[in-house]
Amino acid sequence: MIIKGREFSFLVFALLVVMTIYLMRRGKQSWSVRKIAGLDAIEESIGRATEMGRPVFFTPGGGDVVSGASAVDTMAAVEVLSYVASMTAKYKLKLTVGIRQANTYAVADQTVKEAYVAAGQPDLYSPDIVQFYSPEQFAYAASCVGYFQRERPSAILMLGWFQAEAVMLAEGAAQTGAITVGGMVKFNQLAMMVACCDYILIGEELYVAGAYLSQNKIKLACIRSQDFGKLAAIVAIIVGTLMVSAGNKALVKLFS
Amino acid sequence: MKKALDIRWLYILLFLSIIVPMARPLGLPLKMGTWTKVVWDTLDKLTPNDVLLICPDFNPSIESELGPQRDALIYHLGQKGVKAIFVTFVPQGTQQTKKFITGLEAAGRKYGTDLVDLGFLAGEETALAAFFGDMKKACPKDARGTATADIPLLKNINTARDVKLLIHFAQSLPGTAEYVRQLGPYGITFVECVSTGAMATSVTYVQSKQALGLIAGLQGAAEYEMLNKHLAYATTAMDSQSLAYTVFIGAVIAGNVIYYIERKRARTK
Amino acid sequence: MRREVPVFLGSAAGVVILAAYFINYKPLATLSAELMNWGIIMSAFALCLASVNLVRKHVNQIARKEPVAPFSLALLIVFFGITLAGLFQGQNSAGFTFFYKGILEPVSASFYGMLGFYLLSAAFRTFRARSYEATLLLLSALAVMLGRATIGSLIWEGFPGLAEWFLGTPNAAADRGVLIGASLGLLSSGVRLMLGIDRAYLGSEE
Repeated sequence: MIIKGREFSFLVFALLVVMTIYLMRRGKQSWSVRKIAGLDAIEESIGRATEMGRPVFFTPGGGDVVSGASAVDTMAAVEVLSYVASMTAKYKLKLTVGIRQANTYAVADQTVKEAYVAAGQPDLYSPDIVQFYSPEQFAYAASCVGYFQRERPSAILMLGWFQAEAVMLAEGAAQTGAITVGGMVKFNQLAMMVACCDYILIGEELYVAGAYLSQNKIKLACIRSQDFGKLAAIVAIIVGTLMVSAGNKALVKLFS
Repeated sequence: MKKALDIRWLYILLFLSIIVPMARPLGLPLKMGTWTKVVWDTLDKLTPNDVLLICPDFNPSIESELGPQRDALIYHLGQKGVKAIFVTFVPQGTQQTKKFITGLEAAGRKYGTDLVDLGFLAGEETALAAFFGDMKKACPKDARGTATADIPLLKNINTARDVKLLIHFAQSLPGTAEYVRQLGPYGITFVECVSTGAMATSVTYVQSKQALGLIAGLQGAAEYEMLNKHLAYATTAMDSQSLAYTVFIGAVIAGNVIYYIERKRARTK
Repeated sequence: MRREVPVFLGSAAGVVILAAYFINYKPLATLSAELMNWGIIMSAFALCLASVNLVRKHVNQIARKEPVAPFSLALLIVFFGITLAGLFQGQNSAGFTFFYKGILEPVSASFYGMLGFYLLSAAFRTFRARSYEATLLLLSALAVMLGRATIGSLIWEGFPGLAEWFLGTPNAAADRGVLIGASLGLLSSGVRLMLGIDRAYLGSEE
């Protein structure tokens, strides 16, 4: 029944789902996540924007919600956007969301609208909050940097999936003197974001963002299952390395 | 605090380091990299009956790095006389396909029997999965409006498994990781052409043998030109790149020197 | 119902596509392929929706005579020009080629070139050896830069090999570590999305 060669990956996936559901059912128990400075800085940056009366800019990067790894990075960023939108609605701040992909535009627009309605400020929502710039990489980057230069937002949040434009965005943001919070999982440009941004979310800290900000017990339980998966991966790497060094490739064949 | 060094001087230096070698080439030596050699050796073993799948998924912004790679490959593949199917998963990739087809037609290849352009498929990884699984279903017509069932080159080509090798030019989505994921079930040989910035992650897949080889950035294109024994744009532009890298290194060192001097001054105060 | 139906549709589609990847059952594979084709069609519709937002924003900027109105006008002229040329004359037409080769190519390449100046500014401002780890990072970055520039092999012929080692060994190891962690995060996030736990796109939780 299972396609030949995919039995092991099916088993791993099934185990992860079972563990997630088991830990969710134990949701009464609260799992804690270590302090993540980048996520705490989001609230701080919005507070600063409120004091200064300057707008807040958010971009979930260039990822598409229908495409593989970038979909999950983008959805994680959209979760943070929901939180940011509810905060800006609460404090009556101007929010601008810069979007690169059309599918992401639809999701982000809906997210912001729902967040404003939930915060009791439906009148403050406007279709101009979420702006589609261009799917072209540097047209999108130029639009964002142009916005930074013109509007001088006091908080610039760049969380999601980025490519080479990350440098342009991070450095362009840094030059305006805004508080910059960056976050990405993709390895390529992470170093530039770390160098240029005031606060940074590295790797899976972005995936944890939704759970961390909402402190939702079920989401935290899912993060816990992820940690168990990582532990299993570490054990497999150590055991596999020792086995291959001893000339036994059984584990390699299993994972292949 | 007075700035120790105005960044605009460095901008001018960078500009000059790029322009001067273009006007007066320095002829700096280039050392061959292993990854490019593997790609060239593999493509050199191809025969005129082999069918390649070429996916130029890049847009004009990266023309400076992937354009020379494309031109070097056109030269090599034109000499080998192989057949090629083109499909792209980014909108501007269709223009890159046109350049490929123009170059290969100039080398004597014929559209329909040796070359076919299947155009652009929206949907990135979703489109990749659909295309590799059933090419004719994903592309019922080619970019010129002909039914793919009627194209001679595609007669025995239905899935990714039916092609000899895939050459992918990666810039955005879908990137190396997406291709590795979707090609996994088909087990076909796969070569990546990437920019210098994307090299760091693509090397991982070459090392784990999920991708056969890698042509990385302008240097990769220059190395390929050397192997082709047909020096062109990339080789001449390498002088500019080398000097520009030197300016970067100088800027980093200068920045650190200034940092330490200022730190020492602050401590003395 | 307003929240449950979208969650159910999303979960059902995800479960079908995932099941088709693992289970050998032709109708499931056909349904999965069909859903993926629908995804391609929906992407095209989303592009139309986003384009409407873009046009509306720039038309409003022109109507309100904002300082950026001339740039908005230029954008709209090019936007409609290339769209109409592509739709009515085809992508091989002179009109489409003019916009592509005359505007898109040089402007895109110019912005990519500007990246070098942003990188230089960032490198000068932020690449400081503030700590032991930062110094190690800086030295390895310098070694890779020298290895990838021909000038490096003039200084010491071992730099290219050293650069390849840095990229192939420590870099690959770190990348794989991040990749494994990110993949597990991706799996977990996918499971959360399919089970309807993550519903940020539907608004707040309560």
